[in-house]
Amino acid sequence: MKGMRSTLALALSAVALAGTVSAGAAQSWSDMQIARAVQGEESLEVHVKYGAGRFNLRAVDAPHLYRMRMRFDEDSFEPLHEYRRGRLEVGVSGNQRWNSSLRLADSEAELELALSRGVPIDLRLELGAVVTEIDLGGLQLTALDMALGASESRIRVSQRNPLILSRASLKVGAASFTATELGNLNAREILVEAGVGEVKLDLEGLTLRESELHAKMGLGSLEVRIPSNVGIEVQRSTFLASVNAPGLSRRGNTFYSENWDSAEIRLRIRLESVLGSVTIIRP
Amino acid sequence: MFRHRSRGVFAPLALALSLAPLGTAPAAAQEREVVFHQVSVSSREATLRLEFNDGPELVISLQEGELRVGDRSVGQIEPGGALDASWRALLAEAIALDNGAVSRLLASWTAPEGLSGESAAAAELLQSELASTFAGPPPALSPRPALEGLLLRQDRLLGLAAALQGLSQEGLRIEVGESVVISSDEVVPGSLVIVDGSTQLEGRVRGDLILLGGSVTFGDDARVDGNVRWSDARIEGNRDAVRGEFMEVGTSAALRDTEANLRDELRREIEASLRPEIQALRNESRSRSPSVFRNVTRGVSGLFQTLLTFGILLGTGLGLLYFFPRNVDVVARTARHATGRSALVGFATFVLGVPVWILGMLVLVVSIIGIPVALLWIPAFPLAVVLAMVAGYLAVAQNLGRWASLRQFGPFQSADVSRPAMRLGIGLMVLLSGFAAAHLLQIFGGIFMPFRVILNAAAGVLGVLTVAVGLGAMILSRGGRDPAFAGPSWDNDFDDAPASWSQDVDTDPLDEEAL
Repeated sequence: MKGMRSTLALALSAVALAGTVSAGAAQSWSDMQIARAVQGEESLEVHVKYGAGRFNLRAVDAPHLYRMRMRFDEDSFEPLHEYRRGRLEVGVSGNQRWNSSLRLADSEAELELALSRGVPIDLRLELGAVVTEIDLGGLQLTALDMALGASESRIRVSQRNPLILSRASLKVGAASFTATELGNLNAREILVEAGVGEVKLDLEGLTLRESELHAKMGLGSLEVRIPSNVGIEVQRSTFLASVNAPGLSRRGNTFYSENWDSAEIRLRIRLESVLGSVTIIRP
Repeated sequence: MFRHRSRGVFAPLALALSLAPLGTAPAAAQEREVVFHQVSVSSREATLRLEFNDGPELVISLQEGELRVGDRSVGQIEPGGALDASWRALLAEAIALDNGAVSRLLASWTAPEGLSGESAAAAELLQSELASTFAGPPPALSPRPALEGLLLRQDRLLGLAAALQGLSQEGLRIEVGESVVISSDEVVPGSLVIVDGSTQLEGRVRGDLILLGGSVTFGDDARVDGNVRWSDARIEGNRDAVRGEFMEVGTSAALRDTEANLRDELRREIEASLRPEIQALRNESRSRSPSVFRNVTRGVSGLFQTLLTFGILLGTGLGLLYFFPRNVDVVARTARHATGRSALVGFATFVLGVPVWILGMLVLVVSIIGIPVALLWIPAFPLAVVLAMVAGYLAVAQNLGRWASLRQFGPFQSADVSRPAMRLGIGLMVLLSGFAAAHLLQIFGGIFMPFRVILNAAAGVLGVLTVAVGLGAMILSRGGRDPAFAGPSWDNDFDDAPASWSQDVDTDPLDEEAL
């Protein structure tokens, strides 16, 4: 749980800082719009580092390689935008470390990012105290690594990823995290690490014959929704957590759905939880 | 290696430059494609940055009244004035548009009316810059602008240099920035070089065909005896007309990369050639400063640092004794009476402090209503622990001072340890003496290095033990408020004292005036 510890630390500091508002401090808002057209790029590596505010991500049609709109307080933050040879880094960085942190919460800060549908993308997100709305549908994802701090996050994969991901990693700190249609990610393995909060995962869209969900939950509730045509195998390792998974039968230390042996699509679930509840729903 | 490669690139470039004027002709106007745009608008700046598919970027920025195009300042604009407002309104509109729409919007911008002086001049320049950027180069009456255009475009020159490598100059024909038609009965005796132009080829080229930018259309009867080398160009028509091969010599981006690589290589070569000299200078500088002086300087400096530490700790301790004499006394007596227990508690705090701090944060944050308390907890907990460590250290220092005096250690035997301040001073001297002695030995050179290491280690261990015991005593005695673990008062402590001293001990150690 090393990753979870760092995510938790990020979450805690973000929550703590979010409450410390320098009330009445004047802010100077800056707006920025950036658009770049595709110029023969064969792939795109995207790294987003964003501390506080609202963050939206979606796909965009040609000719755009990416498109971005950002609003930030220029007294406290520097915009971050670097593009070189298919590598894009965007976000904001504080230019007065302590003051920047103190001024997160009353932020109208916003970052909207749209990425090309036509270029394979390696996507890496590091988000702090951020309200997140992400639709990965339409993107050609070759890698996905998300670290969310103290955030309210909604992630959707509205269209199937045309490429197969070997692994998608979603790390969540203290947050309310809802991910729907995760099956459309087309990932062989989905790793979800959550610190504190409420996590809802919907795996609608699974098409790979074999895939794996590895969910690690620290403190809070985890709800996993899986389509009924998917056969599931559950292995759990819990400390003070209850697991509610109706309709599963036990063989040794492993639980199986009734259709496990006959299902064309199988999902192996590994659950680790310290304190809280885990619910597996099969509608 | 670099020199060789540099020659390899720049020799054809020189050839290209020397030959370019031969066939330059008026450039045809063409709309430029924006591949990147960045618009930044705030109270301090209104900046536009554009990158094109065929050339260098354009940056127009208005920052705190100064209008800049690229790196050059083109005038001052009155903040909040008509031009400032018009430029900002233009960018505010552009901020929501795509690349194509941005170009059209910017191309259609006109300066507001009624401007005068520097603002009018700046507006005229701005409008002309935008118009020329989006309308392409103006129709030229003489061949010079086309050549100038070529010379100013580094990527084209690099591309030309790459394309001309190994090319025979015999019968060479170069056309820059024009539309060329080679009719069916026309024969180019050597190679044909086309830069930024469109070519209709119906006739014959006996050598190679070189294309940089622009396009070529092969007619049905066209013939190229050699190869076609091209970069950033469009090729259409009857490809069978070419007897040789189609060879791409690199895109603008690749050539820019080549240029960047060359720069990097040049930098590395300069660094490599300078490194021995820098090293020699360093060595020379070192040889000028004999180690004996370095040792003396460092030793004396270390002694001063120790002295300063002593002063700061003594001042802090005296402050504590003045304001909290009873608390300090209880902590000191707890440390003395329950030394083992205090040490255990102290070491346990070392180990568990950080987890407790994090857990506290976690609990407070999860409870939501505890978030305001968490904001206090985050700085207050570590601060409290540090303060407790300092206070405990000073309290234990008092005990050490008393102990050293009772044992009649050298200079301390005649000290009046009835005074807590004296006890504190002696204790701090004992605690810091190891460090001071190590610095003293440093003055006498490296031969004493093993002794210095031992002294520093011993002083460090003693310091850590003192902090652990002091911190534990602080916790056990609730900051000196609870004497549950405290031993008897100093006045009952006759067991440790030699007979001669025990009669002189002060009667009320908690008396504030004793300080």
